[in-house]
Amino acid sequence: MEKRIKAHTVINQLVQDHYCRALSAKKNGEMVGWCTSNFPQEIIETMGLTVVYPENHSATLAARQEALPLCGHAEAIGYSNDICSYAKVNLGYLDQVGDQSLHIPLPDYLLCCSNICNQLMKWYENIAQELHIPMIFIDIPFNTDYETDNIRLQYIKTQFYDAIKELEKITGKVFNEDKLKQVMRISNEVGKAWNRISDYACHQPSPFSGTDLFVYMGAAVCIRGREETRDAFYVLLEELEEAVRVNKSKCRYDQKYRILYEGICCWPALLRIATSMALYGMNIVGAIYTNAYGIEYNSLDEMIKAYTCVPNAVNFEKALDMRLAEIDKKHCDGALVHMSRSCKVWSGILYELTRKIEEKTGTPTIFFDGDQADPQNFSEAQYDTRIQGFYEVMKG
Amino acid sequence: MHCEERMEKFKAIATNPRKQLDYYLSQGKKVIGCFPLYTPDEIVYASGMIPFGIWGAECKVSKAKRYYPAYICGILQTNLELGLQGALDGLSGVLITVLCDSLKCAGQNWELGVPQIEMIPVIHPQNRQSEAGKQFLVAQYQKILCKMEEISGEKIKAEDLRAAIKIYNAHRSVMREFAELASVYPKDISAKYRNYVIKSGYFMDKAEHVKLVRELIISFKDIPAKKFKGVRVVTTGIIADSENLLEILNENRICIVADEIAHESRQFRVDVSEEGEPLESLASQFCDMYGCSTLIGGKIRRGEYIKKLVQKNNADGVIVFMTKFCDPEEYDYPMIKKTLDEAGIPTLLIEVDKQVRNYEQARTSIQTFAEILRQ
Repeated sequence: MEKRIKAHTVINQLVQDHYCRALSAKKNGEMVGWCTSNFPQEIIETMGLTVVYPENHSATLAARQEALPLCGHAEAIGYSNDICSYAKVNLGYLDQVGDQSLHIPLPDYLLCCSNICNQLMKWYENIAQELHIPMIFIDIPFNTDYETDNIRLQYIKTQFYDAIKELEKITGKVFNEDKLKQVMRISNEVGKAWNRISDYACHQPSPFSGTDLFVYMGAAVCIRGREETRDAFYVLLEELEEAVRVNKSKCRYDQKYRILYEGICCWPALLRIATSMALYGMNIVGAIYTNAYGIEYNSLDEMIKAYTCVPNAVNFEKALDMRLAEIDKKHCDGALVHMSRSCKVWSGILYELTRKIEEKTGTPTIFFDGDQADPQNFSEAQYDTRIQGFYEVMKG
Repeated sequence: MHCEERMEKFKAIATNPRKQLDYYLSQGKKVIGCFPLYTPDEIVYASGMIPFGIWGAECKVSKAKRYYPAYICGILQTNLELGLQGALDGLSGVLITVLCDSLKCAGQNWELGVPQIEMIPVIHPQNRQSEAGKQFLVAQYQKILCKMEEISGEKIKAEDLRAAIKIYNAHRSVMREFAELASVYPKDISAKYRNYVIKSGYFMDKAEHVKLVRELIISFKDIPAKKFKGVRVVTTGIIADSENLLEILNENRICIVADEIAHESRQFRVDVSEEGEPLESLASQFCDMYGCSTLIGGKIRRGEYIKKLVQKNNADGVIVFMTKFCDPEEYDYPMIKKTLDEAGIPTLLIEVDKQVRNYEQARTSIQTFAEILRQ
């Protein structure tokens, strides 16, 4: 019990430190960047840059029920209700910083990678234009092929080094190949540790509650190239190992049903989801969203390839294989599918993807409508009815 | 033939694309569907096949609902609907880009739902200012070229590509000329007919379209422009081809003096160099494109470009035709609005949707806008 608090506390503290570091850097006159969550962070760590991740900031505010006024403000300044709610929260925040419980410093430059979606490019380009700051951009186009070919690899690799040159000019900091190797080693260890944590859910019962992974992923997003993150994940791994050894899960209820969570986390309703899981004896043992940050590689080329294989950048066949592998590995009894209103690139293939999952595995699935940050797109009544129906189906 | 009769010909083609498709198929031609935007039609043309634009249709969506949630734009919903209903059968392939998040899904859903028409991906780079971006695109175009050779059974030679580029440049040029003509003859070329002339080009062999548009322009040569007391606007957006909506512009004596619509003049903005390696030239043209919501960067920002169009054409205001659920446009809108507001240019936002035919609410807004601009 004591150890559980320790890992949880350590990880949370690391994320808090990350935000504090950025705020004090800004206060001390250092340049601070805003960065998309699957930008090759190895560049940032190697150059010793200070950045924050607006997607994580938006998610945190959404989980704390602070997103709604910011979404409203973004709409008031002309943005459509239809755009990504992470963007809405951030653009609202940028225009009118208020009394939020978590703050980020305003950026001096932007780091954007298109492997997550195209909306990020538009969102960041608007900020660059509004604030008259540079935007360093690495384009990783959507891959309609299963594998990453050399043409794509070369295009991205060139941009990787172009981005470094631009950053050296902007920040005055120097890039060092030896340091990159060291950062890659550490990042790889963090990625491996993150995947091992996730794989502990293969045990029956799973030694932890799946919704905890959504909480821990803040560290995997914001500080996945640092030794302290690796060490904190090792602490968690020890705890999980011990939990398995004594057969005592951190998930306090009887886990009757093992669930694959499909889609982006519905942050505004995370508590409700966790409560409903407990009510029906379900536990999330697999999630594609959290897996996105378990980036492993053995070389620079492999690292670049890994960034081309994040969930929204791959074709349908590969996306399906990711789900089938997860269902198989984690012995899932059902898939809970979140249609995030904000994320078109994810939601736009989910109907067919879910049908194929059912067809190939016989696993029951259930949809619910929600959103990664805008609480207006989540209906408690619909969710409750659907989850109850899901339970009835699995109960048989 | 009078210019009215000529324009009816464009209307007949623009409002019945299937007839055109059947016509080409009956001639033994192969036809390739081209989704929005920036498909390399010149490569298709060089193979002897006909590039055929697919930018949605005013139809009810039923089967496509199995694939898309409701918040994907009507262009892509109805494109898939057409494919699923078999309304595009006969096409030998369809080029689908990944220029927005919904287009990424469109290609994947098409492949799964419409297996009888092969999906050929068009992957554009977004880092267009770098040589690496351009070379990435050349490699993508090379893949498409091989695919076109495979489908057509014809080897595409450099001179075939050059000839295609020449015809497409001639088409861009004549369409720019036509857009200017339409601004001079608003009483003869209404917004609706202006659109028929442009839209028909998507369903025709470009050489034939060039010929028809040239003849139309010539037919206006000796006709004096009638005095126009209405309102002059610049339009912007992805597409504005709803007959009912364009009729409302006409009713309110609104003339489109220039457009910045993706489906219209944006396609004719940048020519392809007729010198050098053809695939390099085609890639350069894409890299030189600017002021488009689906692309980042570019030499002129879209808001600035629209502002210049307004000034150059002495327009009274701008109508933004916002395609419902089009996030690239939704990100551009506040930035465009800001630029135009700062320049004192009035704007009107009208939401458009392929599944909507009744624009009564828009009618009121357009009417009010026109009245304000007349004052």
